[in-house]
Amino acid sequence: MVRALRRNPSFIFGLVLIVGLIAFAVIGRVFAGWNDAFPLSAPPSMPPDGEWIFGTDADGRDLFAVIVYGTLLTLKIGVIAGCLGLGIGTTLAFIAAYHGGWLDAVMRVAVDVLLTIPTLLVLVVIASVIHRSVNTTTIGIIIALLAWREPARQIRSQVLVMREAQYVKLAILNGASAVRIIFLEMMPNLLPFLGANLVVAISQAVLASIGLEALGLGSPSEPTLGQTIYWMMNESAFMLGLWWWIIEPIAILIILFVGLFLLTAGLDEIANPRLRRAEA
Amino acid sequence: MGLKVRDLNVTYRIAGGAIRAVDSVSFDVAQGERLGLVGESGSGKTTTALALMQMLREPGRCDGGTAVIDGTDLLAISPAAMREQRLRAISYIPQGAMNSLNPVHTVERQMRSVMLDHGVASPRAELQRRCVTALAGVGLGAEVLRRYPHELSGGMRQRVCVAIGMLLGPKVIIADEPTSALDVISQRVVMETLGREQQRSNAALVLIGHDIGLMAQFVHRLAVMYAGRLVEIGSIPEVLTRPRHPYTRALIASIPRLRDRGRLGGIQGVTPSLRQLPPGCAFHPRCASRFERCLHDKPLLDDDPGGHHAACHLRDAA
Amino acid sequence: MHIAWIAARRLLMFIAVVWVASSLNFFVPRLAPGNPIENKMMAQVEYGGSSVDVQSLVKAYNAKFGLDKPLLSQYLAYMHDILHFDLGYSITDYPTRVTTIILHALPWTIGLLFSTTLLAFFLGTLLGALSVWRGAPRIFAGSVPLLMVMSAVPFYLFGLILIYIFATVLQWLPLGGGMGIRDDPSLSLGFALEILRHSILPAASILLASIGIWTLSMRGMMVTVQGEDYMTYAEALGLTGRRRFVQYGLRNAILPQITLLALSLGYVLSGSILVELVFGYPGIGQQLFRAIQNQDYFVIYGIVLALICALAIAMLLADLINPLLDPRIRHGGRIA
Repeated sequence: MVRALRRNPSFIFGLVLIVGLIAFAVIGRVFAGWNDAFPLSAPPSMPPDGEWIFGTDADGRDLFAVIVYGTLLTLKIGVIAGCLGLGIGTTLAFIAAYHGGWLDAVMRVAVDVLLTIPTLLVLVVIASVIHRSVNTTTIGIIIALLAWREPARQIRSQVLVMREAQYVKLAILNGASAVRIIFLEMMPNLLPFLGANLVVAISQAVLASIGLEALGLGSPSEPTLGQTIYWMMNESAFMLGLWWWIIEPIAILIILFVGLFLLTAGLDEIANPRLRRAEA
Repeated sequence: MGLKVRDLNVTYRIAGGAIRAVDSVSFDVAQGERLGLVGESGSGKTTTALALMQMLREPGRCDGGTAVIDGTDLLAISPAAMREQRLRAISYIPQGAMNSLNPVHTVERQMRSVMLDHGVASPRAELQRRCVTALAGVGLGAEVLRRYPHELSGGMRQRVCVAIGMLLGPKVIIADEPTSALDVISQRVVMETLGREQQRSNAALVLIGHDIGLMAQFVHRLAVMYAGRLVEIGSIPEVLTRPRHPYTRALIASIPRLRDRGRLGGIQGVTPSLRQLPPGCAFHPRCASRFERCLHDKPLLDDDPGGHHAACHLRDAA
Repeated sequence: MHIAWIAARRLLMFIAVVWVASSLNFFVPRLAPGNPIENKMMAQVEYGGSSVDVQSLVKAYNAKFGLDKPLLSQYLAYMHDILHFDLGYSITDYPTRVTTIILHALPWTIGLLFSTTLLAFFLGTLLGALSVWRGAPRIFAGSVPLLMVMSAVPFYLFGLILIYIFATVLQWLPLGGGMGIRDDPSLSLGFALEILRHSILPAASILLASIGIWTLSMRGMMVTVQGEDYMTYAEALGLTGRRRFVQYGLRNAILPQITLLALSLGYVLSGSILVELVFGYPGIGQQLFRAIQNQDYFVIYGIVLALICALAIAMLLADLINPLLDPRIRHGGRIA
């Protein structure tokens, strides 16, 4: 498997970027207090220098702390939404694909219809009514309500294919229970595929969350990366020439997205040949 | 006239060395003559055909030899010049025309494209007339022109390919297993069509396949390939009744006959991997008649005045 | 006929999507804690100088959707309105109708979205095809990794970067808006140029960030198509490189690519909305943002529904292009 990884530069680069980002945030926590990421913890609009290596924003937040905690918060939303979404989607996919018949048909149509509706728009509708009581955890959960669709679709088709595989039919003939077949026979072959889907789900959840935050529907107090950009846009960072406030959150987000993208590409490469072999 | 191939070599450069997919293959096909090229999968038949069309892909390369039609060496001309020669001088009828036709164009459009790209400057009506004539030659009506490939049966598609192959009156036709994907009835129709058209235009035909029975009914001369080498070549009656190479003998012997009952024969052993060819004669590990010399001396096609050549050391021993 | 069957299925899908979306708009605010719509209207009544006007809105609203009415009749009244294209009135801008707001903003959004998406699709597809075509210059293949990475970045982040570079630092292009602050709309060339000037950066954000999507997918299709038998046969027939590339390669590879376009429209739309936001571009995205800031719920729901419908229509149309391009889908039968 190590050999396969070496032939997979996307995966390596992606992993390096993401792990690097997480490491930066985790280590950064040691040097930055949580309170420093909130307004009036530092003199406002200071360029990067000495005590504030990332500078401060117009509300007096220490941008180093903001970036560190913002990264963690944004990732937290992504992970919550991604994992929940994948979990729900996988469960539904297995139920539908394994059961077959009318249940499967209903689910297929439902997912197709729901997938036609863009995530951001639904989030806007939901978030606009509960805006007051929103925090990063609830944002994660709301996004999960939409994140399950794509994994459900993908995993369902995979399971349908696998159901016809020889080793599964053999297991059924041997009298294995459905649970046993699902967890012992199918899942191990699905793992790389699930991995790829998880990364994609996280990536899309982060994208959805910063979109929501840019519209002003994010958690109003927590300094996620998306919120930081929202404040930056609406408090004339461009006019005031506060370039560090502009560049830093964008740069971190770009690293995050590119890293997740490369990771997905890498995982896809791993997932596909494996599944083909699993069929033989 | 006709096709003269001399010392054709095709090498595949892969990690760990080079593979000789086609090794010093030489043969002639006269105008109006039909040559059958038989061999197992991987023996180099299709590779030979691709080499003649300058259609080898990396890591395969034509490493030497000449293939002359009408004074032009197909292997020496530029890719642009080769493009012009394709279909005009030498035409290729593919195996399994199932997917060989463009799925999104009608038959007429594809036939017209072929003529236009080869500089046939006639008006549209004239081109259409030629298409109809070509289709009639293979027993298909004019309504086929308006059809898309998926609307035709396998046999019909193959006949369309034959029609396209004859459109510009080529000197040489290479038919690469044109019937292996068809049912027996369609096979017969296609082979009859091919034969008729070839005779009418007096083209030289190279029929590639692995069905000796089919060859016996159709070709004038037969060439046998094994592990990239040409091991025997001669007229059909000669090769079938007096095969000189042990491989050919074994092939013929393994053809099931209607009258004899009993177990199906085969050839013991397996075809060698081209990466690890046995030294000397490639067939010697499976040959019942091998002797000392066969293990290290690569046999070459001999010089038989009767036109029946074999690459085997037995001729000297006999 | 086969096409009729396909069209019927897609139409049903369209209806289902519109129904789900409007139901979403109906139920979500009613499921939320408190009574956000009522609260907003009350707040608006207290706030506005034109309180009289808003009160008539409240009265009209209560007549149809009052809490005393059973849920079912509210739902039916709501659906009735939707089917008559009545999206209600803006709470903060009463008596402006929601449909009016949308229609004013629509041309800007369509202009931006339509042209950049088509351009990105066209360029990206061509680039992707050329990047794997054997006869093409190697530079095409080299541009792919960069485009791929760029496609990972959300449109509006790209927009922010472009604003910073071109508007703030270099000051070549305006910071935002659809036209100059002092400009009066007119049919003059000068005005048209102003609009163009203001569209460059927003369009570039969308273009640069989405081109990679098409490039990447077309690459995959093209590689598959190049391996097909008909490509080999086309070469054996001595067809020109150009014909093989365009009529055999592109023509076949583009079929799934167009399906991908239909599926990606939602993503592109969401991205464009945020781009408009960043640039203060006077399109639907900007209106949505305003509505969110003002908690103008009817406008929010109206815009969301309108966008979903537009999207569903676009997907329907794109789906119907498929049979047009692929004779195999068109027919489905064959003569022996």
